Amino acid sequence: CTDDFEEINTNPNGPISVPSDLLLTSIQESTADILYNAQIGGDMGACIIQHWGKVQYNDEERYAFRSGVINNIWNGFYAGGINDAKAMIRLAEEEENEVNQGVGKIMQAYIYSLLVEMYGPIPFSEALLADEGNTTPAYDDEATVYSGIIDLYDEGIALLDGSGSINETQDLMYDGDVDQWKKAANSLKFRTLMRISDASVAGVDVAAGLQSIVNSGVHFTSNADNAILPYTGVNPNANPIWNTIVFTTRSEYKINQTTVQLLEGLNDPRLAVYAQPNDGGIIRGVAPGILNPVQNGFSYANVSALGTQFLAADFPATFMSYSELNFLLAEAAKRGLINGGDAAAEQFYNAGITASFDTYGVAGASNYISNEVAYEAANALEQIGTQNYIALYSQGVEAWTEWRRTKFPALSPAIDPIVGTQIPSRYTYPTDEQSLNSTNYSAGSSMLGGDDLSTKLIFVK
Amino acid sequence: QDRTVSGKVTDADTGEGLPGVNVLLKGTSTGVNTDLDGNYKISVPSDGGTLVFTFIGMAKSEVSVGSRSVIDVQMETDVQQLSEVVVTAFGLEREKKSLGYAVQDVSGSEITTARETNVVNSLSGKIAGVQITNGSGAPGSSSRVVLRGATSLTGNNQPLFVVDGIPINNTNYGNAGPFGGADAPNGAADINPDDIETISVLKGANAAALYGSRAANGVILITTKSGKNTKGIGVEINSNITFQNPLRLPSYQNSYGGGYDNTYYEWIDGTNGSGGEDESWGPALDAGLKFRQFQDYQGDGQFGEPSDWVSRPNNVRDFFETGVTATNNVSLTGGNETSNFRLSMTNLNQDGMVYNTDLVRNTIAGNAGVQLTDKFRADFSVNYIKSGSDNLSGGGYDNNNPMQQFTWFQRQVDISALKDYKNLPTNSAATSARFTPLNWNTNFNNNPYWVLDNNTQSFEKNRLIGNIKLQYDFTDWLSLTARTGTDFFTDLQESKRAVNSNDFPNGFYQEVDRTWSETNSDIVLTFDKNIIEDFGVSVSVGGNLRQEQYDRNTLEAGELEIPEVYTISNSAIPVVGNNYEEQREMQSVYGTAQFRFRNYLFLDLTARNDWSSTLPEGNNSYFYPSASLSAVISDMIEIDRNILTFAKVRGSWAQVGSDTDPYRLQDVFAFRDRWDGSINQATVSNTLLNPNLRPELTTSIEFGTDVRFFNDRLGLDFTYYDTKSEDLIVQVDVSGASGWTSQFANVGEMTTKGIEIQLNATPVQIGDFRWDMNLNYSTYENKVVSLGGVDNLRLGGQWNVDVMAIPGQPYPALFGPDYQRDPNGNIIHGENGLPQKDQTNKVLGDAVPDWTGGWNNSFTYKGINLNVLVDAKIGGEIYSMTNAWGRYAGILEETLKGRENGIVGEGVIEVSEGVYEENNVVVPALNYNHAAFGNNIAAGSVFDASYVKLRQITLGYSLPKAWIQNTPFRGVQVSAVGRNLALLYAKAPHIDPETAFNNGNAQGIEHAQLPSARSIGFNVNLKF
Repeated sequence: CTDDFEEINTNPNGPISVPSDLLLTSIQESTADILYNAQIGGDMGACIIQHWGKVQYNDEERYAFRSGVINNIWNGFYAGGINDAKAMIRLAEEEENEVNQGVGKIMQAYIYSLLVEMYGPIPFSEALLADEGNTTPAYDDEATVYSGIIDLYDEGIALLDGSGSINETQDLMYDGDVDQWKKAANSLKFRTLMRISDASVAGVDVAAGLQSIVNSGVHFTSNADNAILPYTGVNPNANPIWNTIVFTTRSEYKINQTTVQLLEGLNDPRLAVYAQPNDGGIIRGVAPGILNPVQNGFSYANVSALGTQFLAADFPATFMSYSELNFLLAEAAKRGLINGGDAAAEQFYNAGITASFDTYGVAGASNYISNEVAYEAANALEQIGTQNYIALYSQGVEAWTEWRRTKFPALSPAIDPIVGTQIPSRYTYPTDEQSLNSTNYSAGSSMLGGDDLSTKLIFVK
Repeated sequence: QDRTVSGKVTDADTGEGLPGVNVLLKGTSTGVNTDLDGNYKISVPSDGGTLVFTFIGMAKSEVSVGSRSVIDVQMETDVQQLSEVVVTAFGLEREKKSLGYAVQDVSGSEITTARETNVVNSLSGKIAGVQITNGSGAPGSSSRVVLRGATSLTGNNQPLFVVDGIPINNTNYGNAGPFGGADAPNGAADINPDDIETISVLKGANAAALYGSRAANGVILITTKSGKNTKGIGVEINSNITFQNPLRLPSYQNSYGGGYDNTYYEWIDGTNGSGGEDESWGPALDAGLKFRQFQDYQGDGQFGEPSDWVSRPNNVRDFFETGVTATNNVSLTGGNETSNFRLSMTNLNQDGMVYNTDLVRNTIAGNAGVQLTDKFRADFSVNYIKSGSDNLSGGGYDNNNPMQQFTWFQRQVDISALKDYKNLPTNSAATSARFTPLNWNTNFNNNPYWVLDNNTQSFEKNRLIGNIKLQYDFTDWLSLTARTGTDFFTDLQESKRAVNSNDFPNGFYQEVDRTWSETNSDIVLTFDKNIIEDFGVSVSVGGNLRQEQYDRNTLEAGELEIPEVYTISNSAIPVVGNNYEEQREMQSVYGTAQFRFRNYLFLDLTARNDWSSTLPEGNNSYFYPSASLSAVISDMIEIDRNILTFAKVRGSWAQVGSDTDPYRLQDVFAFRDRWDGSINQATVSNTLLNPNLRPELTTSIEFGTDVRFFNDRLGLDFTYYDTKSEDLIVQVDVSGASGWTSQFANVGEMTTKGIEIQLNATPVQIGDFRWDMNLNYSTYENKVVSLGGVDNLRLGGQWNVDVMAIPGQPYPALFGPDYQRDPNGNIIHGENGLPQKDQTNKVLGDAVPDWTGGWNNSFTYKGINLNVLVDAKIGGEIYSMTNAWGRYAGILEETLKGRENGIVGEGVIEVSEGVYEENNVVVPALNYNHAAFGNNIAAGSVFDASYVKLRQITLGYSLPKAWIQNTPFRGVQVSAVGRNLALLYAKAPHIDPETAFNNGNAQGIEHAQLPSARSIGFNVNLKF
């Protein structure tokens, strides 16, 4: 009479299987939510890279990160988007939907790139195998992870040419447009190749890979192609930055003095969009990572708030923009990684600036390019890096990563750092890894030469 | 030559005849029972002999017959000695002396006079090894009861509650935690004390192998009043009214007011983005100063004249109102030769100590029994309980907990200026408390009275507990009993957050609707016979079918379109709704056999096999046995009964297998909130389920003695037990890189061993005066042995202290940051003179007491009865954020130290590597308290949780019979009662260390719970 036990114990609250599309939305949203969480993309991205600063509670801006947040990033990406993508790929295989398998792999590649660039060596080849009994995955060195990411992009891009389709409704980024996914995948791959352009990753020919993307012409060609998650502006799908700063009135987040001075120095009209006037009617930033900002003259009132666009509830989360691709193309051309030399570099550089102006509806890009920041072959790499830095305003994690790679513009570290003395090169590993995966954690730390904020990753200058 | 003696046995209290009294000729097997009027007739030898009169709940009486032929006896209510017969598993009655394990009882009258709205609290201090933690003084607060420590790591560690043989749900459906939510009554709190005849506590797995898995933590058996043994119609009215006030509030400093500058304070209206500082490191109070304060604000940025800067020593105390709890019960009982019934109605009305908090409970109880034929009997009982609250106070570090803002309550704040909030100006738009009535601090809190009126959490619960039992006696030694019972309830909880609440600027409304039912059906065949002379056997075999069904529907309006309209359709954003459904079934067969030799040697064997729907095929059937032996030494040997009246030794061994919760075997996808309210999204759960789970196993041994001297004037009951739980099913954390952050596995092991001592004595009995006392003591050691290779398992926590299961440590342990210490344990201070934080967290204590005990005294003189109960919990630790933030904020009296001249922290300073000298750096008090307390270093706020409480005093007076002879009353008793009267001893400063956020496993943490209530009042009992 226990025959019906299996039926009784069959969970009616969730399906054993779902269409693979249903996972896509969750992968996109959870990734954006983590990347643009105010404590992550804000405190541990935009603030440490001195786009933003805080007039109170600025420990992270002074490099004292919270272990809980670091755990959340790791667990949120691995047990969130990447593992959801694994399920999506499996389900899409059952559905014989190759396109969805491709999208799953592209999202995995992208999230892995975030992890390897935050931490360094990470579990990759042994990751996601708890369901097969491995709950203590070994760490792979950075080169192995990068090579695996490139493979995932390649496999994903190839699958996009296959059978099946993406459900238009479930795809918040591209409404199921496979062509746009191809452009995004190639652009993201281009970025990853650039990250390892100074490192040697076995089996990856960076220049050839870059050139082939350029030759294919399948990459972002306008801001309309940007890989973004368009937050609806209504909770629970409002921008997390808005949720923190506006909705729950954490108004200590402000613009950083470094950014203000940089843009003022270049007469950059984007400054008026990046920040709001303070109580004195001017734009003023908070000094980077200073102890007791209020006592040192940086108050809630006399430091400028972030610009209204950036504080909008429906401000999109950007995974990668057309303007960033242009700056990467410009750098690649300048460095001879792709064909075209200075001429091409200048063209991409100008296009990057223009795309950035367009994104925020700022007029006067051509005037700015001609009169303030005209391409100079001798200084091109610094100019490109600086313009990319400016354009990546409020894309905290990406701005930090690109700066670590190029070190443009030159930045001074926080005035009163709590941990270390330099802008961090990485995050430390999660404390959870120390207790739950200690042997492999130690091996990973050894590969790095120490689990410190200052330990250099292979792409970091 | 035998002759006949007759007489009438009456109740000394009521004068009524007592039916069913056992009258035994001492030293023989000759015995009779009294008839319905209390009359008996027995034949005795010509020389008379001695008659022994025994009756449940009455003191045994022995009368020498002499030459008398008529002997009338008045029996006294037994206030001390526990009943001779106890009801064990599935309603089997057993002679207490035959039991091989510890059982202790509390009678209904003990818990109705000095009552608690949550009946669980009534057990505090009365029974060895019963550890009660009452969460807080809020109406509807839950209580945790643990018998003999924990057996499970993450599951339920509380005993099974059984009402009239039917298990009931004791779940707490509140959502209180360290960061908000409201606590709700635990399920057993619904039981109405007025309807309770007795509570028996069966401690440990040994006592309860036959109740199945859930009895691994012991059983609390509640028997309701039935009207049995009554004759004619009786009416009883009981009225109780008690008044509550806080037992303990923190001791505040009253010398310095708000701010950080000792010369200047200015309340800012928030237009500059800052709504005011909330700490008390400001200028000296009562020094003739005037500063601009919140009460000077007139709205729209306008201020009146600065107010006097004066202390308000009682500004927190004055927030509390006198709580009032009134309970009225009417019951009607009746019976004749073949039937009995009882009907009862009870109304409880509680107004909390905090404005606009309450609890209401109405109970209707009915019991009836009919002897249909001389072989066939039917009984039923039913309880309908309607309980609810318009507002349970919020708890934790949350705007909705008024105590939260008192953790920061500046010492000059005038609480009375906040109360009339409807006539106060509103806070400016730039503050977190924008557009709501003025508050002393607008950055972090709304006006507390406004919060209590607007942000409510209510519940309404309708519950039915009932059972039907049929018994057929084939012969006097073979009977069949069939019983089915159900516990069914619906519980609707509503949470409201007004627009402009600082944590819900656009308002919020949520409804959670729960339906629960559990049905238990048993059929038991019982054989009971003396096979041959001196050797008796009693065997029962039975089967049980248990079915549970749980549904939960949640609807949420995440923001409100129109303020103050709390409906789901008023949601300004897409409605979030979800439902959850759960089913489980257990089938069991069981058997018990008792072999008795000469009524002094008893061997009990039990066996049970469960089949649980929650475990995988192949592992879902599990068997567990028990054996116990009881030897009544005093009946075996010839001894002087006047000295050693009774002596028994007992021992037992038992196993209990346990299943798990439903749906832990196969992974399913979860749905996230719909994107834009329409696009569904699925996600893989972060917890990996396990298709290979096995049952958990608890093995327990127990030894004990029960000896009584001097005709029961002195009795000692001693128990030793040792329990091991293994194969515990635990949700263990795993590396997130494995794709999941946790998984279920059979990895845990935990052990507990301890002793319990109960001493009963009647130190004085002179004439009508009698002093009875009961002293009980319990101690145990428990240890988490293994977590399957994982370092720790987090059960909960607050700020940076985790409450954890840690191998090698007691359960649960407190884990968090200590000070840096030199090799001698001195606190290390930095060059700046501030204590340094150790970067590696460590065990700071545990929430397991070293021992618990109680001392219960009853003094009777004629109709007067005085009862005094003191109980103690010694040892164990508590992490108190009331202390941590109170130090940080400069409101507690200790923060006066060094205000003017600074503080030199006690400890050392490192002068060169490994060389320490006494610290001599003077730092401002503010800096010191910020560094040493708050949420950074936890060790300074972990305290010994020991306490001794004057738990109860009752003074009762029964009017003499003569006074009421010519009135309709059969009995009148009036009492003055007090509960939780005084904290006689406590090591932790400022708080009552008996406190918790909820009744879950994460004990040992505290912050801003409503203070426990001291309760004083009156009870009137009228019998017609």
